[in-house]
Amino acid sequence: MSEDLKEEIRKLREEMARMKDELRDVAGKEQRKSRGLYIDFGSNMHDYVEDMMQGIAEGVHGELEKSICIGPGGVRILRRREPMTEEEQKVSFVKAAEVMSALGHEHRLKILQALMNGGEYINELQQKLSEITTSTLSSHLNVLEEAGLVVQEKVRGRYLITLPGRTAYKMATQVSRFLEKRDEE
Amino acid sequence: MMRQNLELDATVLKTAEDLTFLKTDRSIVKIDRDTLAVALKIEGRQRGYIFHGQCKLLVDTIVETEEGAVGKSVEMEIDKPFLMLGKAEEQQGHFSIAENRDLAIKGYRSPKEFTDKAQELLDRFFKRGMMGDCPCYGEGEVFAFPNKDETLDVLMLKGSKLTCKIAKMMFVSDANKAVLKSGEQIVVSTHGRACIVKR
Repeated sequence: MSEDLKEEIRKLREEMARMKDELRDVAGKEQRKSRGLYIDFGSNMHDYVEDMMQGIAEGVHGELEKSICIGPGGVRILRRREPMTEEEQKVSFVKAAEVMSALGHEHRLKILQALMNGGEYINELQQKLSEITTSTLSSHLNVLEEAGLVVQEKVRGRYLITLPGRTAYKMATQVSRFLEKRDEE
Repeated sequence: MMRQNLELDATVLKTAEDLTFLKTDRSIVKIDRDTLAVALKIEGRQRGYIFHGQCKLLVDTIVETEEGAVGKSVEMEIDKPFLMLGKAEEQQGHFSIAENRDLAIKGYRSPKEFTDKAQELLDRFFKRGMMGDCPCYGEGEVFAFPNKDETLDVLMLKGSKLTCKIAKMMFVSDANKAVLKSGEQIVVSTHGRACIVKR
């Protein structure tokens, strides 16, 4: 065979190999098209997705750190609030101390507990809390009323736990449960 | 507005005993004996009195909610002339004629001085003779007390419905419903379920 003919055959083989590759690519695209949407991301897709996922993960992690509260009642997710104004941030420490002082007696906590299910007359409270004498019970009720945790209907005579009273009682009992649990561990 | 014929009696009376005008599960209004009184007629019919003596007012302006009670009991000692409309005929047997001594104890030099004060109060409440509908006609009671801000606090009762306005607080209650409006919040309670709206 002459050199020219050999060269001609070599070029034809190269041409055929190239055409086979092209044909394979076209066939692959056609197959993917037949399954649905085909998007050519190119070679940077993997990096793009990785960057995006990293950003999402960092964002979620940051939000969770700010919003998750783990307390004695379990895991709670707090809703984001607008920052408090300076006026809202003012605290009357005198009033706060008065409330804490009112809560700072076992008998008074038992009185609040007894009122959690509805108003009671003093004789009904006396029956429920028989370990407390009448005069002591009246004294405790006065303290709770002064602190705004309890209110008395002057006409009907019943004692009712107030909205702050309910909140204060729940706070005191939740904190005590948390501390008890921590001490057990 | 229709002009009503308001007429204060010229005779000054005094109560012969302690009287309780109102006693419900949420409110009490009572006066001591020797309280001065002058009768009020509207359109020729006895409709009420102006009193001046030791008066005690108690109103439980408290709304019970699932999250706790909101409001407070109002307790007031009133020693200025106040108005009562309604139950006029029921009270008639409880008075005697006031003497100058009784008037002097309350700071009045003559019966006219007391009736002039009573007329001032009437003018404030009824706006100088022009009066709209008054719920006291036929049933119900209305009380109007002057307060330290020189406005009138009002308490009205008709059947089971109580309406009270004391200073900036308003309270309305019926058998199963209550509404309390104070400076900071409005509380609405219906059949034990409540909604608190912060202002």
